[in-house]
Amino acid sequence: MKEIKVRLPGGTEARHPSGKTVKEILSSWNDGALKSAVAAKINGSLVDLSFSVHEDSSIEPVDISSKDGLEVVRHSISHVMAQAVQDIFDGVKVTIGPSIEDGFYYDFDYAETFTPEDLEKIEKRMQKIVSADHPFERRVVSRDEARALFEEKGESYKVELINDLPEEVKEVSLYSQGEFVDPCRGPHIPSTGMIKAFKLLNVAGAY
Amino acid sequence: MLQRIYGTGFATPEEMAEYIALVEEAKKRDHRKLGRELDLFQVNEEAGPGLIIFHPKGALLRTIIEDWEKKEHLKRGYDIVMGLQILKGELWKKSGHFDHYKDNMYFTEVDEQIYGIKPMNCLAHMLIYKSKIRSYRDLPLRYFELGTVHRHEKTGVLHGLMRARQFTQDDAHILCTPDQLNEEIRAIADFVAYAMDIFGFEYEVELSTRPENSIGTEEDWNLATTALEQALKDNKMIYDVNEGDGAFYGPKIDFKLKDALGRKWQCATIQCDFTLPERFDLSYVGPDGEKHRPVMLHRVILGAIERFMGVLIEHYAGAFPLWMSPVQAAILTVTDNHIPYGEKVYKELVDAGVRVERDFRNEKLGYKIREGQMQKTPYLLVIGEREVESGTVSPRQRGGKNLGAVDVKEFIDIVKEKCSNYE
Repeated sequence: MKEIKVRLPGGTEARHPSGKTVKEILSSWNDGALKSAVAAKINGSLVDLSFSVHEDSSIEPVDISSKDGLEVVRHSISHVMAQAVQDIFDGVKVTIGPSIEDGFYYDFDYAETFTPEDLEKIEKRMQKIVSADHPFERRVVSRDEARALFEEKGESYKVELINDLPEEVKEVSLYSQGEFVDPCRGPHIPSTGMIKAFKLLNVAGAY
Repeated sequence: MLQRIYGTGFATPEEMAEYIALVEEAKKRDHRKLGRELDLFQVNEEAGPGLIIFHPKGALLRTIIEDWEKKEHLKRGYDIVMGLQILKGELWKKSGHFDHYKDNMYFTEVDEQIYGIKPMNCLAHMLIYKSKIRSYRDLPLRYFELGTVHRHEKTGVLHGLMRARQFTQDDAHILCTPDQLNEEIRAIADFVAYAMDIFGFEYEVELSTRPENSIGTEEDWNLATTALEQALKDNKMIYDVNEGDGAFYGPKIDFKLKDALGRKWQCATIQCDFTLPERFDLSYVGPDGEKHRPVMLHRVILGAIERFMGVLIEHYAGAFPLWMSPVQAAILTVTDNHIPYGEKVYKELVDAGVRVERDFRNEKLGYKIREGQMQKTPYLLVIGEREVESGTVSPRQRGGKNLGAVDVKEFIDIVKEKCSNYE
């Protein structure tokens, strides 16, 4: 069994069997730190808490209240919003949903205009999704598999996104929570229950 | 059709509530909304997007700020100069703007020659410097211009006074010897600190170092970056370092002010420039009788006057401090009988240099007062029977406090006193 050496915050070093997740490693170091952690950094790069470690690395938790943490949470909330929108409205296609300063947005292709009442409905549905505490699951598939998946769903924008990836990229990571799946680089929070405060603000003019 | 839903998320509901409250408050203070309500400026699609027309009150506020600028610059050993709006394309090629900045520039044609409409004020200042042989005894030379520049921006990012295609910078170029750099930078940093204090802003300082894509020798960059950093240290200013964020032609110090809603706005910047003195072959005769290359600093203190005004409007929510308020007092007569005395008071205030308006309309006093309050006028002077008989005025301060009956002369003194303290 291969062993790996990890360096933790404060300089502590530990040995773990290769393949353990960041969450497990951090948990054995300091369980308390995980309470409000939404992601982690391996050698400075952001990853999910469910990421498996196979090499010697430096690991630190990313707290929900940190700048990086908030960005991750907001991106995850945008996925939850997309999930809620597709649950409620028929025939809505999703495009992209990045986090931005102080928040996030998601672009939708929808024949009708979203009204303030619609936003309220979406928020309520999002609250249900948060309460259900769906885990965010990541899996890596081949480019072709990803394209086929979204073609079948009729998500033409996602198909376009996948097609536009540089040639060298052969694999695509997918994140799903509940029934919603999205081609996304991630990382994401462990589960929807970690979302503590969110609000939908407004719809930008249709364009 | 594509629609965008915006949302926000925070670590706790309390933090989110705080943020939403700020967003709501910001909406109330939107300078475009207040600019309309207080009749300060307009942007008109008929005239062109991103171009600001200043109405009387807005122009008056701008004049007050620009007068302050001129006074302060002269005090600090700057020379006021006035450059050009358009310059030949050849000159823009020489300066490098044509190659590096063409996409942001507007052009026109004169005598079948391409002229560039200036996006920056440096060129004419170079020509002023070159107009005669300079000696080290002449340095530092500090040329200050309230220069109106034009920069192309996409319509999608235009935003009232904050981002326009035509704006005026309180721009200056300093030519000095390497030995004088430290003192000059310190003086500029002091100037910025003073300006921030006068206008009522806290601020943060950032030092930006050499980016990957840059010109100039290692030696020049070290000299300039060290000079900037040392000056900040000497002034005991706290600063952050932004590695690799400098301009391609030199390192810089950026000052970001913080407004009443905690938002940060870039205002002042101090930049070292190696290219321009080289490209224009600027020189001065040193004590050794030899030609030397002067060092050049670009700096702006408030940044863009229009943008700074936008920030001021939102920071004060239109309730400008007395010293900069376009209208400092409004005379409100109770009835038509009080108008003759009202006129007398008006004349006295105007002669004393107080910026005063008259509301002598045949309207109820309550209505006039409400309007005065909506316009956020610092003092409302009610003129009724009592004031006429006693030859006084009864100023109501913005915010509600009544000063009671005072002589007109006394009121003038109060105003002058506050203005001299930048209140």
